[in-house]
Amino acid sequence: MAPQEPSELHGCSVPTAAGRTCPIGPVDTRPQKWQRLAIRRAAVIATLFVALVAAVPAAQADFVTKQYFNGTLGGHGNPSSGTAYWKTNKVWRPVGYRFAVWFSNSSTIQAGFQESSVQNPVVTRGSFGYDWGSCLNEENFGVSTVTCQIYNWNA
Amino acid sequence: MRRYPLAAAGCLAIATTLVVAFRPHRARAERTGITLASTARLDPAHVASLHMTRTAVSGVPDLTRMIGPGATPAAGQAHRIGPAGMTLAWVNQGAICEVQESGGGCVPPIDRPIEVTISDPDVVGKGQPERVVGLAVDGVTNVAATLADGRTLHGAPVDNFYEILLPDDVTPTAAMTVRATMADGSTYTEQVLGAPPPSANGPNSGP
Repeated sequence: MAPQEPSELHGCSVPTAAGRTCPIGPVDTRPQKWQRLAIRRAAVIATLFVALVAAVPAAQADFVTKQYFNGTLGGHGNPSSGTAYWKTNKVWRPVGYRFAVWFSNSSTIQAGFQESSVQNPVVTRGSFGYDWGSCLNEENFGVSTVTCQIYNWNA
Repeated sequence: MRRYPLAAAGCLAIATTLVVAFRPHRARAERTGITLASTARLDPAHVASLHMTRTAVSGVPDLTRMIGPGATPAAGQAHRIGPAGMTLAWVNQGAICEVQESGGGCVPPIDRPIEVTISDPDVVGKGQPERVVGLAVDGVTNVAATLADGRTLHGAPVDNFYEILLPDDVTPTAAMTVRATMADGSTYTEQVLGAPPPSANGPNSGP
């Protein structure tokens, strides 16, 4: 008797008893139904994970803020933020010194001017699109612990 | 006969007491030098509209969030004050925070009857005019802004907040004198020097 070929080569899942012929037929290599379900489930989970990983930084990037000055601001010092679609511009400084905040664009139009000596912070929301924010020390001497910060949302 | 002088003296004493008790604040202020203006303190205790149910606003109005997370009022804590209810105000850590559509801030307790904020809600020199706005303590009857050329504009506080609309030709560079008049006739004056003319600063300019 010729040596029996390994049963798995014939597609038998269980070794056949000696002397019995293993049924020979086409081997179906396609994933079974349960396998397809598992693959689909894994794909869905992977897609959701990738979407989440991508979406979180994107959502965070939607809220942009920039501290464009921090320190002692000289008399009539007037730093600016850089251009973006800003919405809110604020300045903090010790109360008693007159400071202002506003927005400007390349046409040197100014908007949303807000000036006070006692408000802290002084806040303006007067942006008008793609522009930059400025803060100003209106005193003719330096003032310490000044912070100017701008936001692209109604902070 | 002896009764009449006694009665006359009694009447005189009563009349004197009444005159002293009911004479105008102004007279007493003139005598002591203490006036409403000189003793005014802008803090939550002296701004009655912050304690009225009539001015209270339910919930947390979105506008109040502009100051920042640490200063946003609790639900029902904000009050709508000023002409046409233009300002939302609330108490935060002893300060009075106030916002209008275009801006705002928080005012810590200060020894003066008004705060003076210069604001232009839109493009400077166009659209809505520049204005002088601010909180006013109880007892402020009128606020006037006098420009360098002598023009004077007035605004009476409504629920502890005043607004003075300035002429169209006034820009943030304009100097002015702001004067608050109190119920006893005393006044408080603050000079506003005006911002330096806009510089040619670019978007990334340093100080």
